[in-house]
Amino acid sequence: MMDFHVTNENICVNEIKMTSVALGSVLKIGDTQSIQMFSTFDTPPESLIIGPFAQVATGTAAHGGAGAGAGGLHRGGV
Amino acid sequence: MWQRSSRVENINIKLVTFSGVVQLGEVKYIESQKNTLAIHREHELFFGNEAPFELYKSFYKEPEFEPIYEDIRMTFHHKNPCIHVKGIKLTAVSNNGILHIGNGDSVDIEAKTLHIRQLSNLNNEENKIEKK
Repeated sequence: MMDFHVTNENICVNEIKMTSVALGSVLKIGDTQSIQMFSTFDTPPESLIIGPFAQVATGTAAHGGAGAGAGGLHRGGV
Repeated sequence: MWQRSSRVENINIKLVTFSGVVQLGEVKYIESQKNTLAIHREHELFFGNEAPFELYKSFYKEPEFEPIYEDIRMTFHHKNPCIHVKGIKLTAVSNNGILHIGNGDSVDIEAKTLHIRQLSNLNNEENKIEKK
């Protein structure tokens, strides 16, 4: 078994200035045992659709019209 | 005692939005999930019932959170039982962002975002003609 010893000295912060805490991020003042984070941001080439403004996708009608532009994102046979 | 107290004198936040969380005080665990599908159209148009999340790969990818089972004996020695912060100045907490002041056991966060843009081809042709 591994032995892990930590000595924490004084922490005194004057001011924290941030623009934003966004997209699955954490600003934490305190102690914690574990942090697990997962974040994806997807803008695939198929996500740019140039054409008439049709619905992107509705339920099973995944193909046809402008929806075909996003066809690469669809799970086959859903 | 292995956890300290947090002391913040002043918090200034302008905006908490899109499932942002501000948590003051102790908490056992935070589990948070958020799916965002942003469709930008060149013109104002909203169909209401389009694009369920299940149709997009980005949303059915599962995070690979490993179970935490490390066999480590951890000991902490705190010289000061207090974490002291005089002020926090934040513009926004958004999109599954979390501001937590206090102690906690675990934090699990998931945020998935997909952007789609729809542009009109008519407009583009007009622009080309103007440039010529």
